[in-house]
Amino acid sequence: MRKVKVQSFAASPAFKLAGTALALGTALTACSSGSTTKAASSATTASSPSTTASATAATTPAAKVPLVVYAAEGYDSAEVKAFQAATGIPTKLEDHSTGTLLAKIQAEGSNPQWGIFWSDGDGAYAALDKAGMLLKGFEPNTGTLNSLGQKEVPADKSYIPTGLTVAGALVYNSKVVTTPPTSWSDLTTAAWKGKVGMNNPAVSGPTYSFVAGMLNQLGGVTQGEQYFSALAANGLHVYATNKVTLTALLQGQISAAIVQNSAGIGFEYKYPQIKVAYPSQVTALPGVIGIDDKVSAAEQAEAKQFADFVYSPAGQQVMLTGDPHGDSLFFPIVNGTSQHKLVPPLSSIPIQFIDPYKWGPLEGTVNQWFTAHVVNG
Amino acid sequence: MSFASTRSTFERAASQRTGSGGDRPMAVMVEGLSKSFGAKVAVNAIDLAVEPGQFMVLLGPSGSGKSTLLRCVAGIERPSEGSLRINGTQVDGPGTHLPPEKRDLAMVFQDYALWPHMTAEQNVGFALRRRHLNADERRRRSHLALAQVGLGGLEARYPGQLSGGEQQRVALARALVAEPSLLLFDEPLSNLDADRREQLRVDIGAMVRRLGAAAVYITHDQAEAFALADAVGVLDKGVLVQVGAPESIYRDPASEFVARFTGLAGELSGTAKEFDGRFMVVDVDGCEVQGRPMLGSVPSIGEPVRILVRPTAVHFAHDERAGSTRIGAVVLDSAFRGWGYEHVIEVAGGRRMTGVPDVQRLAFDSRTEVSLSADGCLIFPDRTSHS
Amino acid sequence: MVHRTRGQRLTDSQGPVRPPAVTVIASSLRQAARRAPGGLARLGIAVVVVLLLVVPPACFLIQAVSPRLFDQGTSWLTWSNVSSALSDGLGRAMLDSVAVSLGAGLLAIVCAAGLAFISERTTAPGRRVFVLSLWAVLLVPSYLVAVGWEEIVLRSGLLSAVGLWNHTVQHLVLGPVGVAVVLGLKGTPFAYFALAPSMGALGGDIENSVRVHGGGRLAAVRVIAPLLLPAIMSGFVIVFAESIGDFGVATTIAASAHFPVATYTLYESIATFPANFGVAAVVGWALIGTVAVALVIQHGLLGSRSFAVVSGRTRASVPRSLGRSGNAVAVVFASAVFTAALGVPLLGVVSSSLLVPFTGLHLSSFTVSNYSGLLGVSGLGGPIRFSAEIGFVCAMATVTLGAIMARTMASSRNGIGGKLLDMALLVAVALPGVVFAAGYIFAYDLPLLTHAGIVLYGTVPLLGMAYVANAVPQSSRIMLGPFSQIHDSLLHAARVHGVGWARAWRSCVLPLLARPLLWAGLLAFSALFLELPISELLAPPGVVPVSVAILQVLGKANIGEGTALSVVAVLFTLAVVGAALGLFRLLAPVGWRTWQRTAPSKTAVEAKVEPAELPTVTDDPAGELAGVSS
Repeated sequence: MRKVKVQSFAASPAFKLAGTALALGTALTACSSGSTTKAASSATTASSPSTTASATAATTPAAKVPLVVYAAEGYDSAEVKAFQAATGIPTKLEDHSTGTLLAKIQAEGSNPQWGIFWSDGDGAYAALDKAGMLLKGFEPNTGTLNSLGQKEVPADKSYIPTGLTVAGALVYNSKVVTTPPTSWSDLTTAAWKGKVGMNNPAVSGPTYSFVAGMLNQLGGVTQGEQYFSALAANGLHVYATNKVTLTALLQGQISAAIVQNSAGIGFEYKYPQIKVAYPSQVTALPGVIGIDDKVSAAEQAEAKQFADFVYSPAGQQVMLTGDPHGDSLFFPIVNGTSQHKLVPPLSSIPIQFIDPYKWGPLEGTVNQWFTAHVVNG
Repeated sequence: MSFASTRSTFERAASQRTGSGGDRPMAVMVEGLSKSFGAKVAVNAIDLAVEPGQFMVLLGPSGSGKSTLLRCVAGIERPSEGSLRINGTQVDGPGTHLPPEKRDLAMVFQDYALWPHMTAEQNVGFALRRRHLNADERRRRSHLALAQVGLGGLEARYPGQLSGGEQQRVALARALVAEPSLLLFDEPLSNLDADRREQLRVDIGAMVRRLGAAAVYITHDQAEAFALADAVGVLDKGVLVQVGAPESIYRDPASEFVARFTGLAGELSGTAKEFDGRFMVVDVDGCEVQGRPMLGSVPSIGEPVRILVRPTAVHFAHDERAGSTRIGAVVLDSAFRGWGYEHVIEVAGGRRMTGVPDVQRLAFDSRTEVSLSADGCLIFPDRTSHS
Repeated sequence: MVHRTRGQRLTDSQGPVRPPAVTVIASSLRQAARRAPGGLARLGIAVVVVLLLVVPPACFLIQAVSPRLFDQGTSWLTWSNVSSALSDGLGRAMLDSVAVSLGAGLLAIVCAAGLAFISERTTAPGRRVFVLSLWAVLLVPSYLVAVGWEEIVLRSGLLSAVGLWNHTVQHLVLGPVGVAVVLGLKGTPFAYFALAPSMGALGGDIENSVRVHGGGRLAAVRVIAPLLLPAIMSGFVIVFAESIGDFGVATTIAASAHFPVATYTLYESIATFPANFGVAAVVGWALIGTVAVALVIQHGLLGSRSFAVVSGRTRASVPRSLGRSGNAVAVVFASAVFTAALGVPLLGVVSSSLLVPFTGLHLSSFTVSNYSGLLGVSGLGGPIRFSAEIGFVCAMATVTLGAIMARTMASSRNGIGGKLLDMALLVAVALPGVVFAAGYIFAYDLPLLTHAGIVLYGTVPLLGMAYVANAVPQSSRIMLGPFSQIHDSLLHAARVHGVGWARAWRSCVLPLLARPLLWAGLLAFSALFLELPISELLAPPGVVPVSVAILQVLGKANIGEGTALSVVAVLFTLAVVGAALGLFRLLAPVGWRTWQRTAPSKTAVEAKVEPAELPTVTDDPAGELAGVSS
């Protein structure tokens, strides 16, 4: 996430050449794809009733610039809808997985197109902050944080925590597993050989927080790597995402799955034989909003309004109802918000908090190790 | 001599074009036309004129460039050099290239090139589009054209439902229907069976002449060429080596190549012995053979020469047409041809003569004598002989 | 010739003539435009191809050694990504990829050769149905085939429900063998399209000459097999490239089987945070290099061997009756192939959407709740409409561009240009869609472009461009066969008889290609309709393509509903395909649809057909495919 000034692009001769060629060709492609533009943009307006104003506003600057929200939360579309209804700000949502959105943000480089980025896991935000991509020093004033929430606010206030889940809980099939493990080290015993599955931290963002949490509580990278090597030796299955891992659990490929607790609780609700356990210790995974440091002041102002809205009682209500069997199953951190009835009391869970500014920047190297030794091992 | 005649035709055409406006311009006027594909020169500096209403056959072996020349006339290929006029209009030249559709011509292709998704009538009618007729008139003319080529009643057939000969007749109707002033034929008979080939050849000749259009027709078959042509142009390795009436080409070929390509019984080598101003006596292994020196240059006495013998010049001794000078021969083969027999014989010196006609069959291996008529023995200087 | 005087002056003072580059380019452009009518159009097409197909992947791939060019690293030139990719296990992943792709290629050739033999050389029943099935195989996405197989063999799947579950079977399917089999089955149609024409044209006289000279059936095979080698090799290389670039199987079966393949490595290095585009680019180069090596080997094996055995004049073999037992073998073979390629996956996907997990197989264990649950899912209407519209427009563009490329390749097969295009398109097949998608961001989100007022990134046209770029390689390859069969004389005949080139194409050639064009369009449409990586990375904010919408629904739905949704989505595309074919049948002129059946090359040329036997437009599914199969 290094910043390169615009001038450095222009100064590079390769880019001048490429730029000329592109500019030249664009006119041509514009001609050739004229019909595409027309048909497709009319489709846009028709297809997104919630964001009617947005499609045409993309290129014409209006009084209210469109706010672009990159989000990976189950309740994000409901939140965006409610926000637009409440404020009249045209808001456009890009709803993909955290990994996809981060790849997009990174590829956009020094020409970012997003105003708000909202997803689970503060490690990536810490890295974005270090790269100078996040607006610092803003806190919503529409709600106050409880003590849990205050722990999650970074010193430079470069991102805004919105809720809390557990990065890796143990979700198991109670028909096969009668005594769930109480400690993570149980999973390296013969009883669990070939029976445990988890997500690939290189593909699933929350899973990195789980891995980092393990490294943190075991005393460091070396000890943590030993633990995961032992898991791998014990026949650990690694799948791409929550969904695939839980499917494997449901299909009986594995007896227990390490996934984000909100997904586990949702599963528990749908399939009664599935249960969620919290071995000691589990790692807190905050949901976080970041505001782009590079976009126009107008869009930044709207982004702040968005964060304010999320902290407001109305916004909190949308978070709790927008994805009732998924991401809505979080631990609220704004005072006055009561948690979803399916979510267990936080006091019953052995939870730890890890430092995103320490573990965030290690994500690349840790994932690389994980891929080489656990996924492909 | 024949070259001189080409030249004169050419010059006449040139004067018509530039001179008095009352004369009709040449149907096709090719000047200095060359066409290369990469490094390969397919057609080299060709001059050719086709008079209005003239049936011009371009004859040559495969690779001689005749197809390329025809495709240049059609506008399918663009010449590398030279100019081309059709009915007085410049269609190719420096900075000019008129696309095929603007040349007002028609063409019959070797592979028929019928559009398989159209019926016979639609195929023919398609060529009428440029005449801007109403649908009824187009239909009427298409039916008429198909009837003329003998396909009345088959208008609704698709090409796939017609025989090869019928398909080529549809292609002929398609070429004729719009009554263009120039018709091009690209070996139209070469994919057909022998019997259909002859019928269609006759029909092509008759219909083109009835239409009064000029035609350029290419083939590698000299019999086909002579049967159809008002004028024949012979191509060799991209060069137009001779143009003239079929009779003059057959009688006075401009080169050994032309002589061979227009049909020989065989070849003899010998030494020039005497010349009487018209005929030359040649000594062939002790036998005397009379012939006519070609190329306007008479070999000097004692010079090695080659005699190219036309099949019509060879007569068996018992034939009343046989002359007095005779050479010994052995019969190697006789083939029944309906009208009589064609024989293969071996004459003195071990040379073979093929296609020697006679009304009766001569027995295999029998010894006989043949006479060679001087008119059909074409004498060329032998530049390769060592003797 | 203004530049000449200027050049002259330069000569006087500075020696050798060096006209300014721009002037030279401009004048050569003018010359090019003058020389060939449509020279300018050709240039325009070349520019479009470069902007669509070359620039974006190049922007992506260059980062393997120069991450700083696109703001992704500190070095202008570095080999660190290469070493890092190698230490990440790229070597093993490539070996795995090559191994399964070789296996897939072999399997596809065997299946395709069998099918081509049956369809081209015999009168076995059901030939025409299976040619249609080949298209169905093409239409079903590879991940769905993989998921279908998974659903069957997993412990909660159908096998286990009927009490046939077996650990060995599960391991076999969910491992390298399974990956190779699924990829091979998916590749069978491509191998078939490459093989069938030669299979039909060979045999005939060549086979007869072996037989009359005393050679048995085996000797005939020995003679014909080497003659088929060019077709076999080209089919093999296509399947190899398709397999090595496959993403669907890589992220399903291969990923869950501790069997890393190269595309998964590429996916990982992009999906991780921070994304390592440099390493992903190295993997991209490895994929390209592997296909290039395959092409070199193909060239080396064939050398200058003539392909001309299969000329237009070669007499087509007469289909032979196989007899009762032979027919039975043929039917069993074809059924086995399609059961594995279509039947099993379909059964797997459908059963998992209908079965309640862990309940065994009783009537009560079936449920339609997953489907009825879908009725409650809202918000899919807009995405379906958007994707259908952009899919339609882009499919048209893909077919147009693909047809132009197929024509270019077909008409200059032996020229250097045609060969280059052929190789470039094959290499493009081996690059996963995500490379195009990310490449488009790099190429079209440059600050430079934004400053110049050119805003393409984040717009629907750019999404469309990427869709087209992703679909064109496959599309042009599918149309190559039919385009190669069209003789230029058909065009020339039209021109000579007085119509311009546009009309000549429209009236005289395109109708003959109507079927393959339609199929290529439908294939492009169904691929684009469910396309994911490009949709995710390039759809403008607020615009939701159907694949993204499905993913969002999947995130909230339970697994059964998810599978049900996949089934519905595939059924939707099949319905579109069916509707389009129906419309073609209803609206296209008789000649367009039936010419193949009456074409001289296929039917006996001299056969006399009475008017009463004119081809009728009865429902004969066979005709659907004739355009491409032969």
